[in-house]
Amino acid sequence: MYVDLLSVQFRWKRLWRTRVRQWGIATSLAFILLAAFYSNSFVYWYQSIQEIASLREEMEPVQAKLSEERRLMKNMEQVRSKVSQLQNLVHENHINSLLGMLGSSCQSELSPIWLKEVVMTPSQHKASKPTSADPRTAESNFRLASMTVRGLAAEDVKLSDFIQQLEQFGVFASVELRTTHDTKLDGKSVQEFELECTHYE
Amino acid sequence: MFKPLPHWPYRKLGWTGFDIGCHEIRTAQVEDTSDGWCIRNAWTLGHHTRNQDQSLDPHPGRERFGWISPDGLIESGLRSLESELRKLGNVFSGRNCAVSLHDGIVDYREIAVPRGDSQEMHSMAHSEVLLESGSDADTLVSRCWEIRSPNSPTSNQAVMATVSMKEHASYRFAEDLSRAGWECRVLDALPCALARSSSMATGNPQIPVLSLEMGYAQAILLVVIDGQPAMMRCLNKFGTKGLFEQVAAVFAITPADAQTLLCHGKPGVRSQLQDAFLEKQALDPFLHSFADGLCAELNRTLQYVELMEQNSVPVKILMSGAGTEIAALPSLIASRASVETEPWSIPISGHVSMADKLSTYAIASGLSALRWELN
Repeated sequence: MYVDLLSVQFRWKRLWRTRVRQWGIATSLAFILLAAFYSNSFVYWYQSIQEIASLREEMEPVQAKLSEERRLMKNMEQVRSKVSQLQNLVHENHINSLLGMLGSSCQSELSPIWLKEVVMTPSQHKASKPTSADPRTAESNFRLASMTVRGLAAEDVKLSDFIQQLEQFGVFASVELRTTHDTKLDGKSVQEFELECTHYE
Repeated sequence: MFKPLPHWPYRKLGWTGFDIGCHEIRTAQVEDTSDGWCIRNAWTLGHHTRNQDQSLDPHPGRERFGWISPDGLIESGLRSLESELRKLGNVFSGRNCAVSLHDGIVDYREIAVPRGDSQEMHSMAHSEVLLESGSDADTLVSRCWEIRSPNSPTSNQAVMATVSMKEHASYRFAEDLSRAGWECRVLDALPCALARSSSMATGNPQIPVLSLEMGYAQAILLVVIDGQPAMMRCLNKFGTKGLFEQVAAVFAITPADAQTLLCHGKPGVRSQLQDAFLEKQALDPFLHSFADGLCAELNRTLQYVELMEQNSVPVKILMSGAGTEIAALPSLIASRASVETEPWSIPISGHVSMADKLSTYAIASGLSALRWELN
């Protein structure tokens, strides 16, 4: 057994001292932990900054290459667009030439051909899906697939010449005479015909 | 006693025990080993001795041969020893300490109170102490515990042992130790520390012993039963200081020289007496007289205990304190006592200075072992 004769005043003071010491230790530990945490964070942050700078240096040629590729792609698109426009122009030119040829054939008195109907059938996938609202572009998207020509010819020979002219025009892959039969026009015997011209794909 | 993790090295050492007296401060630290208790470290600090020229004495309260009066010690505290106490930190492990004050600084009384519940009895004993001392409750620290009384189980009265001291004295000693870097955990009463040290020496608290503490101011007889202080007597006329002064007066030497002569037989002092044979013959009557008187009190106490406690008669007397340093005294007492008598001792494990007798560290060792009682 023991008895404690320590004065209350001293025990109170000792308790305070102990508490202050404990708080001091706890605060110091917390401070050390925080300092360690922050220093660790700073090191991590500094390393990240260094890594980012290093990556940036490494990325610079890659980005330049990508930028060059993008510029080339853009140029290529432009070239493609121009080629497409040129192709359309060429095609339009073909159609215009074709129409001119048809017109000149009809106007020739030596080989009279009367055209009753010319039906131009566009290519399915090109004509059905215009890619631009621009009328010029929309027109340029027209692709001739086939052409059906109905008319009258004074003679068989003239009809044969007309078919030969179409074949030699270089636009059609084939020119096929579908129907022909005799008919009367102003009391004269003429050949009514129907031609199916298939365009190159 | 429950000892969690007893094998950890730091758990094996007790606190530092400070046995503060008016002549010396005995400090000890005990170790709990597999073979029992042993003293790991011990040290003695003396109060600063007075200058020969009284006009140069900066401490008028001091008396001769390093002796300070109880009032002087209370007044000055331990501040003058602050640097020495601080250096003790290098000798002992840890900063926790337990303190006990003797040489009459702490008053001991046995008070009979009507039997009631524990709180009531404590309150009555405390009131009685205040009444007797004429102090306010704020200025006095007192503690009490019930001691064995032969007829207490059936009697309407209980005997309470009370210890009391001035509040400011308690504060001063603890605070002075704190200033020197020590953490004063307990200011224990002398009977409790002595009872604990007796149990440490016997190794079995069940053995009833009579502890004889021969201090400078007074001799204390403490009956220890079941490891508890059961009865205590303070014999003021058997303090060794009286013996030193008596010898000093007869041979016209200083009490300090008388102490040296009685304890160590210092050559310089012996030459003053001019003859070793004369010295022995001259000192014997004082020692015999002192031992006779003390043994008479011892035997009377034993007879009283035998009368009152038939089942717990002390089988051994353990001597401790400054009186055991007097060369022939322990053997004289042992030859006169009616039961086996021996100086208090436990084994030594450290570098204890063998110049001091081990039995002088009994109280300090008992205080050191408080660590295991509190934790």
